[in-house]
Amino acid sequence: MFGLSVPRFDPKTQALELEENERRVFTVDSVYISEDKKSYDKANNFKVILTSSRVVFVREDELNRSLSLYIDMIIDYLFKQKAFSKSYIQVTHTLVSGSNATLFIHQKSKGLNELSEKLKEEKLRRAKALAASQASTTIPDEPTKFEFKGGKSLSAQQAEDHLKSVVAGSFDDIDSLMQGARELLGLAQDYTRVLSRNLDTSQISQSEKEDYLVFANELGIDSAVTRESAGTDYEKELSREFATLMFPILERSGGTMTLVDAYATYNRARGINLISPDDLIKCTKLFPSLNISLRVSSLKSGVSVVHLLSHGEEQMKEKTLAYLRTKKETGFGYSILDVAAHLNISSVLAKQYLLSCEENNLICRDEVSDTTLFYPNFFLNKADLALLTS
Amino acid sequence: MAQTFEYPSFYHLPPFYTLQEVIATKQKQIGLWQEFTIRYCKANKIQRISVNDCDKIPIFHNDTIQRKLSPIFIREILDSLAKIGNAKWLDETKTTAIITWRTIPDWANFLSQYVTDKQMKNTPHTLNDFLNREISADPGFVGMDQSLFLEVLQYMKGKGTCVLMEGPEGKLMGFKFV
Repeated sequence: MFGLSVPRFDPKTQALELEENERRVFTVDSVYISEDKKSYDKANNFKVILTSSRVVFVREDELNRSLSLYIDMIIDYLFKQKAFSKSYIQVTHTLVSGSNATLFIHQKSKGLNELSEKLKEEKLRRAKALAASQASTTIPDEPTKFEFKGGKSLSAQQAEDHLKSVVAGSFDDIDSLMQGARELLGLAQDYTRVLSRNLDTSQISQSEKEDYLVFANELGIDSAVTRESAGTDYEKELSREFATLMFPILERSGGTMTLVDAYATYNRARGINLISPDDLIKCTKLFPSLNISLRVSSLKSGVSVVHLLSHGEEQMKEKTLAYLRTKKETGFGYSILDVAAHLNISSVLAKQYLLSCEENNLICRDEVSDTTLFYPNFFLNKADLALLTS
Repeated sequence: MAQTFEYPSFYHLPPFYTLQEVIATKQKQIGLWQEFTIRYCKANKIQRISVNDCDKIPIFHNDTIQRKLSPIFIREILDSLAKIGNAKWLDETKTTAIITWRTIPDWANFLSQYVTDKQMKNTPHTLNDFLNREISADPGFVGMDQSLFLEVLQYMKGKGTCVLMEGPEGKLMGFKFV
């Protein structure tokens, strides 16, 4: 409902797992939350823990329904103390989707007042910290220095100083960007952990699990291998990293893809530490010596592909031919797209394999107005003729 | 028309109607078409095919599978037939060819044998004598494509077994076998 991460709370020790630089501020028991200011369901009984960055709502009876709301997501809040009815805090916050939502925190006894005060303090503190960090990343905004005023030009020293500050400011930008990236990564990792816990209770199907893990994998490489981190072993490390990332992806996508596609996928996963095509070619050459069961090979047309050991050109051609020999409802004859869908590979590759089969006299073509259908080569293979005319 | 005519098994396979691109397959395919076309022409007394005749000649289109030969494909077939002596182009642009299920030398031998048997040598004849008159002994000539018959005569002239008698403007008036 609020934040992405489900808070981890231990009811025995009353300990809340805190994030980095987070501290616990205040706790209120027995509050109710609702989306209506007048009524609430008594079943929705929560413990509220205010920390330096979150408001955590814990359900001790149903821990997995606990929620956390980041203070930064709170836009506004209002404490209403009523003389004759119950008090409540009205909180307006943003959702992950970007829209706003309102929730009401109700409590019978006192404590809301104090929660409201503490929340005010923390929000103020966060706002100050945020302002401070933004100020440090703002590029000094004084370009007027470079203008000629009264015929006087800027001294070389001044210009150099300005340049330095601009350069320093630029790198501040990258730092804050990296900071953001790290947070995002943390979030993803959190989510993976949550998921792996849920997996044990087997509430999630196996295919969903696989989908998610691949998705998580594609989110990025945690700490990409760089020349600095790996030194002389750079290419070997790169090779291993590439294999680790690509193996599950290849297994899902027909066991083979063009090297260009693989390059794009890999670099996307690396985020900003991109590698050059040259680096990729060097690292793919190490596959045999590192016992990595991936290979890169060139098809006859010159297209380079990366594939699992079990999915070389010959194997793919066999699979293609075997598919063309299967009869469908409307008879035989399959298009490039049919083959691509069946083998779960790109149509570029499907076309390559089909043309290669044709070249070897294994299949023949039927050109219809706007498409080409492929058949087993019954001209030269009597068994195929028997199959097709049976 | 072709009750006893047997269609080959690949007649119903769509790739049979697409000119194959790979040489070995294409050669085999053309070979099948050669045999098929000659057999069909012989059974149906077809002696002249134009590359645009796709719709006129049943084997060149198959409505069941909605495939037909392109003029380019028909030209390939006729060209290959011409190479083995079973067809002869009538024009430079390769539009129409006469089909000879008997090759021209075969026709020449056949004709020589016929005129010898009938003791028709050394007497002048006209085209009509052979093509239009009903010759009960051998209906093979009746209805024969005139241009094919002329090709045969030209061939025999080359061999010295036939004399052509040409009128003014080179028009063939008659001929006699020697």
